[in-house]
Amino acid sequence: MNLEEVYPNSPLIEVVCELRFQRNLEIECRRSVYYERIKEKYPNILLPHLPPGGAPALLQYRFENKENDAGILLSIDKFSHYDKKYKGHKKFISEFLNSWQALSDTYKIEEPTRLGWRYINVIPFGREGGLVPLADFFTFQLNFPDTNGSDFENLDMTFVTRVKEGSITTKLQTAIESKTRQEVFILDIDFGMKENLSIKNIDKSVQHAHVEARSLFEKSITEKYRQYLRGEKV
Amino acid sequence: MSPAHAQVYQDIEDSYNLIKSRKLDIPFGGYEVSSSEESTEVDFDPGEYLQRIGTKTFPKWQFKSTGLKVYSSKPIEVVITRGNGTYFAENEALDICATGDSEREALEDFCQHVIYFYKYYKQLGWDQVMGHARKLKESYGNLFQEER
Repeated sequence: MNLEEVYPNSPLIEVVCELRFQRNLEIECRRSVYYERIKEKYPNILLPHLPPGGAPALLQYRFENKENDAGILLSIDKFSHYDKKYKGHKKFISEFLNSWQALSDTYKIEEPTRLGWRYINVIPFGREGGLVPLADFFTFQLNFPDTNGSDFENLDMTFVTRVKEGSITTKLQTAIESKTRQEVFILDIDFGMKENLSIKNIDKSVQHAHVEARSLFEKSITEKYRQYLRGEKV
Repeated sequence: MSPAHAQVYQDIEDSYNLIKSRKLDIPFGGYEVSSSEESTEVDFDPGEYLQRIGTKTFPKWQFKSTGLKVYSSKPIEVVITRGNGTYFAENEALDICATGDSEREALEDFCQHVIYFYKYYKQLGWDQVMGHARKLKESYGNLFQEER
């Protein structure tokens, strides 16, 4: 399993790495100071919509790049970097750490409470005899008594598994677009860790989060689908 | 679209609606099903994303028609497009352009094309093909295997 490999035909549509920490009011009061540090890369400011009964301070401001495909989300207790045109973990982690460094230089951030790494994959498929071709794409099987484990007309499931230093929430569902009837699998992998976090070692925790999330993806897909992701197709 | 295909579409639609209604119907009582505190926040709307996808492209490995099933050793990329009410399922390398009144019909036509060309090139001798046909005979011979 090569966790460094960047697939030319990747199904990833968004990658997010998020750090949560104890609430820090300085972030709300001096938001512009941080913006000055990152505005060259992320000049677009997108303001959150306040839901009824919502607390404005907890909603995230979004600082996005000119292409509108990568950026930073920031509130008084959360910081995240996201990328919709993911070019591999090395570049992504480097961007995350640069933006994080600017944040921790600007405000006194203490007590991280959670680190998360999320991969959202969208995988188009064509049905086989009216059924979802799960086994062509995924290695896992669900076997219920008196049923054929692969005869799914549809599926929608979420499970949480415990892994080293955290847990992974995996969601797999089929979705259909109402007009074009395009059907896809949505495979959403969210690794989260709350223990053994320290501001000094954020880089190591981010590397670990990547390894856990990516390993689960690699173990979940079939070898023949991996071949397709590598661009080995006819 | 034929009545049979319309029925299949209705079945697919029903299965999506069934999942939706069952999710709302589960008696959770006072229990929490999930918590945003436990998930990495993301601003992703599948519906919006799906609307932005233009051409539908996906890999396929099995092809079945008229009692014969073949497997491909490599992913065959099927490109689905729509024009003037007709659906097209295409693969340029295999020289296939299948059509139908629905995506499902076009995909079934695509499978028929694969099986037809697989049988056709298999029975042709090497002395009977040249140029592009020779390349296609090689492709179909190397890629596909019959189910045993």
